[in-house]
Amino acid sequence: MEKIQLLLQDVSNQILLELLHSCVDDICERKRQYHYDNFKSCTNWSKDEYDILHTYFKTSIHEILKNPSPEQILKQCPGLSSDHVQCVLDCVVVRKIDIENLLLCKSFAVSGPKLQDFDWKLKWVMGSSALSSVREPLLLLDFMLHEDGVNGKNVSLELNKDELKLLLTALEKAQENVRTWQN
Amino acid sequence: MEEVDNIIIHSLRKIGCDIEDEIDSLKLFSPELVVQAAVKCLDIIQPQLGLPHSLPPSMSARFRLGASLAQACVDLGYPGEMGYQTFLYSNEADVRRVFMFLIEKLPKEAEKSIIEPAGRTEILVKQIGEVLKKQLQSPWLPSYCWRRGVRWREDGSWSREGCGHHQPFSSCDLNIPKTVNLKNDVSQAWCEYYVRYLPLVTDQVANRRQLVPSLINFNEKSIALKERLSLSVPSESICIKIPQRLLTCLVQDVEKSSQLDFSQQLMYVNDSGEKSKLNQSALSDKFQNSQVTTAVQNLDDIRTDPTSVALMKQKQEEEQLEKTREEVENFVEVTKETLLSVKKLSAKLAQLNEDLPGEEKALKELEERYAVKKRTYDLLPDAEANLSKLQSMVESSAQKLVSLAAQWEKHRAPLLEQYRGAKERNSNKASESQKQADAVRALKEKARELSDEIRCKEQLHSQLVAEYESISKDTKRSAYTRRIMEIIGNIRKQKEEIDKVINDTRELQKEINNLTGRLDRSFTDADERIFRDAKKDEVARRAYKLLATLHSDCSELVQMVEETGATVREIRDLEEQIEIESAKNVGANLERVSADLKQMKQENAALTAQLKSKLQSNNVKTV
Repeated sequence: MEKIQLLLQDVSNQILLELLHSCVDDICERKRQYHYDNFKSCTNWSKDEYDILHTYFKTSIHEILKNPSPEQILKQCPGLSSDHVQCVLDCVVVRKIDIENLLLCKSFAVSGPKLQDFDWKLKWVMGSSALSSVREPLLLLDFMLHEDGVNGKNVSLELNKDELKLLLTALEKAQENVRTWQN
Repeated sequence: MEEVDNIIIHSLRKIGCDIEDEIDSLKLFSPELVVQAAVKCLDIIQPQLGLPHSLPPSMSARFRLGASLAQACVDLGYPGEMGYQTFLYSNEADVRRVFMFLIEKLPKEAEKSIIEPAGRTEILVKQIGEVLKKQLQSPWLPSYCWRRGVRWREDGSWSREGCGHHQPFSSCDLNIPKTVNLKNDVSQAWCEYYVRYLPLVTDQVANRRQLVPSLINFNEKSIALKERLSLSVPSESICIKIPQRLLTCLVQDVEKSSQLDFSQQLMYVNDSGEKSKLNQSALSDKFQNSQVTTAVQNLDDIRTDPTSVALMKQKQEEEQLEKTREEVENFVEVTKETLLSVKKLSAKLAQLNEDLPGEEKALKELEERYAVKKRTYDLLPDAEANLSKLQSMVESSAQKLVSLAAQWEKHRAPLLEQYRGAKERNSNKASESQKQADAVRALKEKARELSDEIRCKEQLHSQLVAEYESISKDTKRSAYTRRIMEIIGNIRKQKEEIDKVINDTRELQKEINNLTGRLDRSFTDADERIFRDAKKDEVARRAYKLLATLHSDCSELVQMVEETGATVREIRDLEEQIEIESAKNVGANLERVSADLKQMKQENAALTAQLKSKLQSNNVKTV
């Protein structure tokens, strides 16, 4: 604890905010914008010290989020200066929505795969092995599912006109059910 | 050969040759017709040649035309030999070969005359076909010659080729400043976050290919959200509107009833807090009114007493004002208190109203209990007699009950039986109807299946009919293919026969070989034996001589037979050759050639005569 205090002793607000945002990015599984190399030039942290700070803030942000107030911050990270407390509070207030969204996604993932994207291609069949000229449109539909934090389980469908209509009516029915249930 | 001739004549007629109906084989073609047809064909194949369409009268011009025709054919790649004689002194086989070659070279008519498509899908199909044709015709390129899988053509069009650059539509969540939605709520912290720490959209995606799909997805999500909001807004606005209308109604009511008693007014609007608030405002209105009326009274006072001192007046006014103000305050407090008490009382009333039914129920129960108890008390004084009476009553009622039970049994037994019978019948009927229903269901299923099948078949039929119609325009073709198939069949049969004959000859050869071998062997055997005896016996010596002569004679005979066979074969070959030569009708051609030669000589003589006469006339002139 004292070591962390020592490390943060003469760090400017801006650098602290950068560190905090990179921690939150890590929590949200986003692409990290700041790395150790960004901090190396403006602080005297070593790589290990940087890692310690990173993990420390990651755990404490989780706790602070339960009740974002200066008192809670001081309780979690005692010894922060008032400026730094304000920084942490700002960061937490701003990024609260992101973290909430992440938690929501995680709890959705419990109930099964989630549709991330869908992609389609329209194909025109000119002939088949049975008939020399068929001339029928075919829709190639790809559903990209997101399951257990793993991206990229694909479900591919090849539908002709009737099958596509069937699928659409089924989906519309489902949407209506969801709407009535919401009301 | 007739088939080939028919095909040739048919195609010549198709390209516009004037061939009369009675000509049905190439044998009947005159040299003029041959030249005309050949020129037509060459005109279509190479329009820039510009040959005359009919034979010129002059012999030398004819030869020149024939020579140029032959040259054109050779230029096109005619494999055999040809010269002017092929056209001018034609024989059937050569002419056939030439026309077959020319007709093969004719550009395909079908490619030119495509039926104009009608309808959107037809046009689309045609366009697709054209694009595919273009792509198939363009030469192959290695993948590194394209930029991102796109091949550009000289005319500015492009097409995607290969599948290396197809990318799936995969997106990720984006974070974008929401200045519009928050408007007033953009605090310093948010501003700083957006300006300094929020990465650019291009840095938020893990992969550059995800950028466009992610943006599309983000926009679509925000639009969907807006739509959902706009869907839910109407109900909210209705909710807001209803209280407003209620408020205006209430205000009007309050104004109307302002002349009524205060307490009545309070009773009229004491339901909800909102209404009471409104009530207060109405009340304050009223107080203002009363203030106005007092002011008016004051004015009246001033008018009635003009002589009084201004100070006095002011004092009086002030006092009165003070008084009325106090009164008003008192009044307000009183009304507040009464309002509170009214609220309390009404709450109490509601609670009491709720309690009322329970109390009434309890009351009823108690009354019933009271009636029972009262009767027992009435009976108590004469207990003994009443007891016996009650016992007798009980007994009689028991007896009655027993008799009733017996009666009930009597009625019950037949009814029960009847009921059972009916039930059984019912169940029978039900099972039967169940069976029938099952049968009906099965039939229906079958009918549906059959109708489905019929529909499928009909669809297939219509499709096939359409296909057939699109094909059937070229009937000649199918006839030709059928004929070709027949010809191939014939050829196969002939080949089989030839094979058979070859086998026969081979077997015969083998037999002959066997026989000659056996003959040789038996001859040597006989020769040895007789030779051995010949040394001793005179008869044997003669026999040996005879044997030798017999053997030599027989071998001579065999040789003769072989020679005759060879001659017969030679004769047959010669006959065939004669036939071929006679088919070339050399004699007639020779006659024609000599006639043409004679004509040419005449022309030459005429020309020389003309030349001479010209020269003479020139000489005369010069002299």
